Amino acid sequence: MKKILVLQISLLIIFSAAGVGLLFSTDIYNDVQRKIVEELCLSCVKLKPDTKVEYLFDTANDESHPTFVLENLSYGPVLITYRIDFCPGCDDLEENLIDVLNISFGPYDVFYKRISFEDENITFIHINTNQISEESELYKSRMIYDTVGTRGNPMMVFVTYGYNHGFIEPAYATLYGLEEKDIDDRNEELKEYISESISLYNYHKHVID
Amino acid sequence: MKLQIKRLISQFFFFFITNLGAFRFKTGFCYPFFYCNACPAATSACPLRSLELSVFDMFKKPGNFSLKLLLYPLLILGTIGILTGRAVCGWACPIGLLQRATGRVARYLKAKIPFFKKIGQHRIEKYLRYTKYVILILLVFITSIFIGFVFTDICPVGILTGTFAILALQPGVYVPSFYFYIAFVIFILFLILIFLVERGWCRYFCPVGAILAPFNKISILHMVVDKSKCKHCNICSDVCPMGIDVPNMNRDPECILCGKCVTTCPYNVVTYKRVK
Repeated sequence: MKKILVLQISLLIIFSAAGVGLLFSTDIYNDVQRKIVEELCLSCVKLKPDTKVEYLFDTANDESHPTFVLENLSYGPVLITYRIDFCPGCDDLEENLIDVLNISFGPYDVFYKRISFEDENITFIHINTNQISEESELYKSRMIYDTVGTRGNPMMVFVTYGYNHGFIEPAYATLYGLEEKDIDDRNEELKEYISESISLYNYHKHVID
Repeated sequence: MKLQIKRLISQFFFFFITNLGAFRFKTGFCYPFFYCNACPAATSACPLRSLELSVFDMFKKPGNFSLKLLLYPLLILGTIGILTGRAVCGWACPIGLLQRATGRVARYLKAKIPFFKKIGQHRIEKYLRYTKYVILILLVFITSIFIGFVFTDICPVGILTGTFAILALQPGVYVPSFYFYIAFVIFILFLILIFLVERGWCRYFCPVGAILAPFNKISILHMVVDKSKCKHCNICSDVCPMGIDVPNMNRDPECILCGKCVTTCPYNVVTYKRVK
């Protein structure tokens, strides 16, 4: 048998066996599906969602607000951030969150924390959708607030109270990153959004009480 | 059925398969060719995106290097490369299909205007072909480690298949990011290139082609030229979309196994071979 044929067959066996082995012995298939194919890569499309801070009452998929949000809403406004494992935009936003909220956390953490922001109470919830089950309420909550509906990352949601045709109801605003470029300006921008949600909360919570 | 018709059917078939995501069919595979996973209709991942992600966190978060994300596209491309070399570029890649269409214009210009004929025959042309390896190493791997996703930020195929499609499907929802304008200029240059030089993207810039090219040297399926019967009429080289000197190619890494040389050779000296 010619040497080249032996080389071809050997390499084919090595590559295909390693490929099949990788496919069946690891979660690479799900990783690629969830982290690359199903997530919109805003870097690939060179676009960013044109979302202004606009508080809405109807959720993106018409489902009710998740229970973990409603439970925390009694404490103060809720700030939720959604991210995926590989996301430079999310890393940038988290730098601002760490600065402004004066907390520390990692990109893979999934947690909630009640914190004080300028002497007001808020709940901060950090969700990495790659680190949780697709069946979990945390994961599904993403589609409730994804107003654009394309799973862009990072996604930041402010949930507070608002006045809706005679009723005080939970209102939310979804943002996909910050507008400003400079880190200090971004911190100020983030502070403004949080302050606005607190103002709305205090004004309407007063009516509920 | 004529070989080139078969190839056209194959290209349209793979174009259809590539875009099954339009019917919500999303898989966890990587394409063995160049196509953007940000296209709303994409079924699978761009192999370059997977490679970028695998090394992205290395610098920022040491220890986060993902070996399986690096190996996965390389093993898919490697298996196909050993079987067929760069045949996927000629028979399956949707960007290859696009260039097949624009190649007619390039061929016309080459025939009518001497300047365009010189472009593909200039002495630096063979060195330009190494650009794709530089792009692969520099923009896909090195910048991903130290800077970020530079390649996907400026990729013209992302603009073509992802950006335009998303802007058309969801007008008013998105605004251009900082990289959009740079990428758009590169996209215009990409268009000019593929209209001026046949398969210009594949020849000089395609990083997936750079991964597949070395496999031509050992692929089971390859092209052979029976030199004893060759009359050196050079018709094969004239029709080659990759600008290869076909009679002397000897498993050329640039060959995309399109078979144009096979169909045009009047003496039938160029053929497909499965083994050496």
